[in-house]
Amino acid sequence: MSHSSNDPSPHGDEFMRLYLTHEHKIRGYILCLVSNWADADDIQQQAAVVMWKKYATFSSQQHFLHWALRIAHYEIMNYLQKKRNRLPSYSPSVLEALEAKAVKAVQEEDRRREALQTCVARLRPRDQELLRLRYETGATIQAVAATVERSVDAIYKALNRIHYQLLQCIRSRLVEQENRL
Amino acid sequence: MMPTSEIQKEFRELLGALREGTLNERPKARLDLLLGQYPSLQDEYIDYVLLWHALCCYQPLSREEQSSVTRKMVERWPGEHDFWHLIEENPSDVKGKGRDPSDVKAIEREAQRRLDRFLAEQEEIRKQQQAEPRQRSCLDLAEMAVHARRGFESVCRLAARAAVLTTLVLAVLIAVWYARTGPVVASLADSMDAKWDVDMTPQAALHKGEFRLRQGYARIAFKRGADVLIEAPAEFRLQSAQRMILYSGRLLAEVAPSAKGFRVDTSQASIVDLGTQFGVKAGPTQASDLHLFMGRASLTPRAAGAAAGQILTEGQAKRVDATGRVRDIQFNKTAFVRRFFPKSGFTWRGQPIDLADVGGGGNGFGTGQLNRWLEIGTGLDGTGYIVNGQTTQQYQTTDNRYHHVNHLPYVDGVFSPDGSAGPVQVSSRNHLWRDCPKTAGTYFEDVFNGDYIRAGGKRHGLVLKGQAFGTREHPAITLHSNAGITFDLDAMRRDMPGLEIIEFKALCGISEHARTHLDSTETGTADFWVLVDGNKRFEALGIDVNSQPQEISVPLGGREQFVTLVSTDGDGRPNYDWSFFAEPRLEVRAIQTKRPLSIGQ
Repeated sequence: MSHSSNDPSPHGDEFMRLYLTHEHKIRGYILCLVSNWADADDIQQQAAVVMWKKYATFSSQQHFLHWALRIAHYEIMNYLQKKRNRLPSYSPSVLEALEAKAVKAVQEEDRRREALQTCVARLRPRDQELLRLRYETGATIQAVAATVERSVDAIYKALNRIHYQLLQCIRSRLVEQENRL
Repeated sequence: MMPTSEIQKEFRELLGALREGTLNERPKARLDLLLGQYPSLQDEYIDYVLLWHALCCYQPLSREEQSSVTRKMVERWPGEHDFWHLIEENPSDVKGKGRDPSDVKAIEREAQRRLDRFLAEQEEIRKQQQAEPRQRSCLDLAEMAVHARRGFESVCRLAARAAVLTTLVLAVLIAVWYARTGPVVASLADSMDAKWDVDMTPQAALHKGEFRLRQGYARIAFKRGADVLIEAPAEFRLQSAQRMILYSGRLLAEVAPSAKGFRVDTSQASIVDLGTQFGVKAGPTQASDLHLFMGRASLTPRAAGAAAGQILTEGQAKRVDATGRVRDIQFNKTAFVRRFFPKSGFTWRGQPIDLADVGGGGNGFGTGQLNRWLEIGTGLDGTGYIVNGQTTQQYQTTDNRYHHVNHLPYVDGVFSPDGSAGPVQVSSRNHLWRDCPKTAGTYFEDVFNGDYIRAGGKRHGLVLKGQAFGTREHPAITLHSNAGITFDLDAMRRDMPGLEIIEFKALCGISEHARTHLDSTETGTADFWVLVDGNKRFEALGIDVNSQPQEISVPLGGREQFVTLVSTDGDGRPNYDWSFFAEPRLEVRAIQTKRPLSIGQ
């Protein structure tokens, strides 16, 4: 479906649906390349505005996510160019390599999240509680340490261990699913 | 080049610091160096960041939550609450109502007014911050400039965010109004056990918009002639009288010639009907499957750079994944619900009516019991001649009467035939089998739908050409001579109004296990019959243990009332007539729905 008008507002509902469907993938992609939440938020908002403005040129023959990621890519590059004196970023060759891998990885984001649910459920209750304190409540690592009455260093190491455990579990599940398909 | 364990350990420390926001310039440069030197660490890095992202940021909003967030965003602006009510009315009130164009203008004016007011407030805040005297401290001037700039940038970011969100909210509100008052594109033709996210009434007119079927089944009749049967859980959007989007779930589309070109989009593919019946299974990120039941359809992957579209014909099935790759998959005739029957409460997926299942009290689609006996002498449930753990099985003399079965919905009756006294009644409506042969006038075993036949106190399998029967996968009805059972086709048609019974099919024979049981003087010979309303439509005479299984195919025209299966002793003796009908079934097909093109209220 091509839009004949430059005014995207009649298709706002469609754009919103597509955008909200893929929003978390777009943000994941951006985060992979800038690795900083505040900057990722800024870039995502700018990219969203550009997508909204350019939606009239989006053709239904294209895949929305791919189109959106290309826009996000340009916004990332613009952002890094503007902030290069202030914001240390990855070298161009690393960015290029990460970009290609990130595009591929976010397309299976939903499978990753499903795998994550299963993998979190397999953690020990104590580890699940640590994750909950750190992420669901948004507490700093210091606050978590105070809550569970452990040192910051111990909590830091425990979270590192849990993250890697989850990472290995998710990777195994993704491979299993690939083999099943 | 693979990283050493030391490098890996260091890498993981760096990722931990990144996660906790403590990665400064020098460690970041080190991370960059490691990512450049070791490509395998790049994969690990991506996986780690996405894990971190999933853990700490995103809680996907349901539609209700989105609506709630949007409401809150509007409600934080002081003003009349009827602004929101103007837009977000109860959906059932909105559907079908006309919308006064002046409301649209009112919405736009109010939204613009609120945006202008918000931006003015933000400008005021910015000016105030600029006017406040800066506090001098021990910080050097360069750092003070950085702090001031960051403060200003922060306010600008806030204003930009608000502007973006406001623009999007405005677009959503206008689009919601637009979508809610769009044209009627279809109607809810029928449903069974259906639960929707919105109120839905029978025969409801459906506007362009999104729907979520949480439970049950629904049939949607599009205005141009396509019929779509949706199986929950499913989320979809009705785009026009000729198009819909399936976000997730399963559907079966039957497209009348007038609706040729009907289109179903999924996240992965577009399917366009070319005069057909097809099934589509989709998920938000999984692959989409297309099964072609009848006619032709085109399948086009949606991914950028994917392969060109292709045409599918009857009996083909394809899968399209998120990258646009298309591959062949096994066509599955029973993968989709093709009819549902609200009165009787069951669904049909294209499979035949299994008469062994019917004999077990089922509806023919797997709801019956296995290993169920029907007493020939009474028409009641039998015990298989097991009384107090002891078998009492022996030859019974036929009363030559037809015994009506009242407790099984599609079994009419049972009997033990002997033609020596004249025509034999074979149905509750007095259909007579005029050519029933003379028999020994005795029977040994009741009608049974399990996987064995008993003799000599032991159980012997029902086997033809090495294949065992009497299971769910390979059902059977044992009719040791002389026995018959009649099935009620009218009762089936009443409960399955969209289906047409077109044929009876089965194999018949004597179980090969009889070979090991027979002595040299025994033969075990039986005759097999299939009657339709008392008229012979199939016979296989003199079948013994060494005979090939006989294939039975009896076409049916749609008006027959009863089908009767009979086994009689072929040699005047029922001994060792371990006769059975293997996979007895009624082939059915869906009656195509016919309706006028326009759907009116």
